Amino acid sequence: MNRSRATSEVSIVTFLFAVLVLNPPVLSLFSIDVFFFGIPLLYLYLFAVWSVMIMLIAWIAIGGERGTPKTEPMDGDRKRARGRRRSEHAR
Amino acid sequence: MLDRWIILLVAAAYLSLLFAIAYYGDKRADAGRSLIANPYIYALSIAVYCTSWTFYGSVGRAASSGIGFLPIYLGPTLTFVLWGFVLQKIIRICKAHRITSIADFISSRYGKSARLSVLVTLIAVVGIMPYISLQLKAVSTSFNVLVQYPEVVMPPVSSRVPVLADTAFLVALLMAMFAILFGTRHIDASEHHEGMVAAIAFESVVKLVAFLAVGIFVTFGVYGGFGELFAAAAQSPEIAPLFTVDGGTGYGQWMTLMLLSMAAVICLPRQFQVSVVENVNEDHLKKAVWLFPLYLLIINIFVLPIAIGGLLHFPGGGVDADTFVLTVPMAEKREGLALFAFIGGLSAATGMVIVAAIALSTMICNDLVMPALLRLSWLRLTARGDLSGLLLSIRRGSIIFILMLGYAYYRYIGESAALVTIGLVSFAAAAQFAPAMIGGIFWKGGTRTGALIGLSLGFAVWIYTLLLPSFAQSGWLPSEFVEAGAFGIALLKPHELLGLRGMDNLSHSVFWSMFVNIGGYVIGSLLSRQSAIERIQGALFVDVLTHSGTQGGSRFWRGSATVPDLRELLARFIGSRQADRALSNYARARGLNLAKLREADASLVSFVERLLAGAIGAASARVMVASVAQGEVVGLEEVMKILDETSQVIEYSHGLEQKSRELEATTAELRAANERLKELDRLKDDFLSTVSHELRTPLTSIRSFSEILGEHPDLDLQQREKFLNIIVKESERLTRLINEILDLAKMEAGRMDWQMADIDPRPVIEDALAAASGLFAERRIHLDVNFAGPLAAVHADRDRLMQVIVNLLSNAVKFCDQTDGHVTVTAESRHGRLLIRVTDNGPGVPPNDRQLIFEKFQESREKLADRPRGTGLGLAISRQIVEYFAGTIWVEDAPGHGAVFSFSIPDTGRASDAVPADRRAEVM
Repeated sequence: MNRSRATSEVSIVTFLFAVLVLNPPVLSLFSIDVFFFGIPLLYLYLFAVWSVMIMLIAWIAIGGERGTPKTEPMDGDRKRARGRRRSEHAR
Repeated sequence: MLDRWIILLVAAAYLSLLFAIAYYGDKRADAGRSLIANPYIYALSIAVYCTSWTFYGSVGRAASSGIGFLPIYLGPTLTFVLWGFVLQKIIRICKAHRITSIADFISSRYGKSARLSVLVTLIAVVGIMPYISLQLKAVSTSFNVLVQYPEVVMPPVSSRVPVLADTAFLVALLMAMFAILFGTRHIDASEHHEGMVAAIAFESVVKLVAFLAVGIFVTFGVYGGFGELFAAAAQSPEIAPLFTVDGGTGYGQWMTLMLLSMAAVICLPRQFQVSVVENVNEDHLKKAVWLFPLYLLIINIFVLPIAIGGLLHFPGGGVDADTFVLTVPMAEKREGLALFAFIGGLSAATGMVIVAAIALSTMICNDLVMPALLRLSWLRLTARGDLSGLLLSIRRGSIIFILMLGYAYYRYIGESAALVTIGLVSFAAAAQFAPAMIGGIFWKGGTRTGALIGLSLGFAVWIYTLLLPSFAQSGWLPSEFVEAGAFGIALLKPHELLGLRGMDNLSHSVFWSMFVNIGGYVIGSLLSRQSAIERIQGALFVDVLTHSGTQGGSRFWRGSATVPDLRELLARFIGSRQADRALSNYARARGLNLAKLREADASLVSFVERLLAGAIGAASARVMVASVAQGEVVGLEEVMKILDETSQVIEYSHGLEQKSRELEATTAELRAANERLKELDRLKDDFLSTVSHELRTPLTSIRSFSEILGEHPDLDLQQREKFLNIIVKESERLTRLINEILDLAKMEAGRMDWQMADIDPRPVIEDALAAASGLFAERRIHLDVNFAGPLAAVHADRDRLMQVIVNLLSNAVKFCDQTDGHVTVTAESRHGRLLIRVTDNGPGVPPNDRQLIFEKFQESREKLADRPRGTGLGLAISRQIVEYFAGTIWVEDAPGHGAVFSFSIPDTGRASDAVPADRRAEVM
């Protein structure tokens, strides 16, 4: 699977960021008795973050699909080959 | 209007519809036109994650802890962010290794260990038991609530009614039958259940629509939208706290739930079944990874509104919050909606139960029962041909067993607990698989021992801190067990293990079980050694993405290879430059552009194979190319390992060849040495026989003349003198012979007493001439002496040097012409050497004998009978002496007629007058 380096990194960053904002202490910032358009802030916040996450996943998945034109995989191959060679050295 | 029979009829109709869909799906699959080969069906089938826990339980949860129900759905979303690292990898591994269950997966990763697969199956069956009981409870409760319509009354506790009259029991039987019909109609090698997946997907739609319908009705039908609903809730002091997270244990539980659900979405046997085993095309994952979280988001939007609606409708807690989805429409007299909600809940429950039962029965059958049966030799199962009937029976039995286990848990333990609380017990059990699974696909060092230790410890702690306390709560264990700890030891309290306080029971259990699980796995792995198969499997699992297809989104199995892969393979063995040259030659000959060509066609593959065969042999080349071309069955790393071993063997045999060559050379040397020794031995024998012969000749004549003298006293004086003379001469010759033999022996042994000094050669030559002059006079041989200029001093033994000259002179006398003898002696200093030549006019020496005559007792063969005989040692001694003086001695033809004996020895370079006169006199 040719997921270019960028999309892999975006995945990891998204994951770490989501873990950060969906857990305390960031979460506790929004755990207050405030209503926004008549909707509890925490409720709104969580669903908003969630929606953004889903959009990011979709963007990564679709981007990964479209982002595999003819030239890019070569780069990935070479990188992988290098990595493989390195691991052999290590052995 | 909602009579019992209407509900049953609708439910039966719905289940029949499901079965029809499944049947149709299977038919389509058999016909090769798969119904489920699209990402949307795949995503919907993954939504089996949403069970009646979600449908009924989430609302119940939300009614008691507000937003606290949500982490269960945020966690899977988080996991799916990393789908490219985790889920895709697992799917590819499973396809490559034909893995059909989570037990298979873990045991396969750790060296196909049977013990591990048994352990995993056991954990799965025991762990999922509460989860199934949850579904049974939800269905039976919802049915029992619904039949009360239009009254909203909670059903009686089922343990008070007999088992056979218990709705939950009937539901369990019905579901078992259903699961058997769905999952065990025939045995499929790939364990694909296309019809089941289609039915599950349909169920996911039904439960979503049903839930949304209830949610929309409550939010917009009963209340005027979100704003009004929340505003109404904010007025109530009991409901208002639900909008924030409880600051106490709330956050701890929040994180625990998120962690558990992150693991559960992969580690639950049914999730593994639908998202990994039933995946027909890896590409579907790309859509499913965001569609599934989107599904979760949508189905959760109305959880809190329904919960609030329920709480506002039924203040005081008379109605179980887990039934709000049903009871709010009922209270609003919406019987159709209530029935639809019931069908939605039934959908959610049946979906989960069917998939879980099939996944677990596969595990029980393949990893628990069959291995045991095959081991029982008296059954002679291995000898029987078709076992599919037996397999099906085992699976059907397993499904019934699993459902009954779930029912037992529900009836005796889970009855009083809330849905989510029951489900979380299962989540905590499923999470025990996570370290071994995730560790297994990212860490090659994880070992079988580590996985066994981690899983056993984690499972044991889970039983102790979650399962046994639930037994205690139901009265199956004394309550002191929870309150005072096992055996009354406070440190062993199941909810405060080792005195750990301040956490809710679930977080406490998850913390300790994960602590011992991960700790046991890591430390056990570090301290144990991997067997060969573990190492290979580890490498294959961890590197599955690097080894398989590079074609974006292609299936993992590829009929052909990619050009870069082939190029790299070639470069590995024949060097980068040659590989490039060979490939570009190939491309030019066919008018291809390699840079643009990604997929290698068959002819290029075989071209590469041929090239490789030249380098590493045909068999290895085939394996190597196969590893690139088809990939996963024999991984590159595995092949490299094999090749490493092969090349070691080759190296070793090269070493052996080298050794044997050396041995051959040594043998040849030894043989030569042996030949020389044999020759020497022969020479020694010759020498002995010659010496004895030479000694006997003079002795014989001495003895015979002595006898004549003794026997004939009357001999005249003249005669007597003549005989005596002969005796004396022969004695002298004998003495001389013995002296020479002794000299020669001494010289050869290096024990000669050499008197080396710088001497003037001229007087030595003159002395020698004087000593030999008698011989010349006797034979009337003419002697010429010629000193060419002054002679330089030489470093030598005077007497020995003289001996050489005398020898040569007497030799010349012997072989000189009989009638007109002529001998010439010349001496000169030339090029730092003293050269002395003795020329005679005799018959000369044939070229063949010129080396031989310097050997002991080897006179020229053409000697004449009347010649005075020498000892045969003169020339041999002369050579020894000359060579000791670092000189050489040789013979050549004289101009015209005769032979020239010459020798040369290095001089000291100083004039001969350097030698003191008195010494010269003394020597003389």
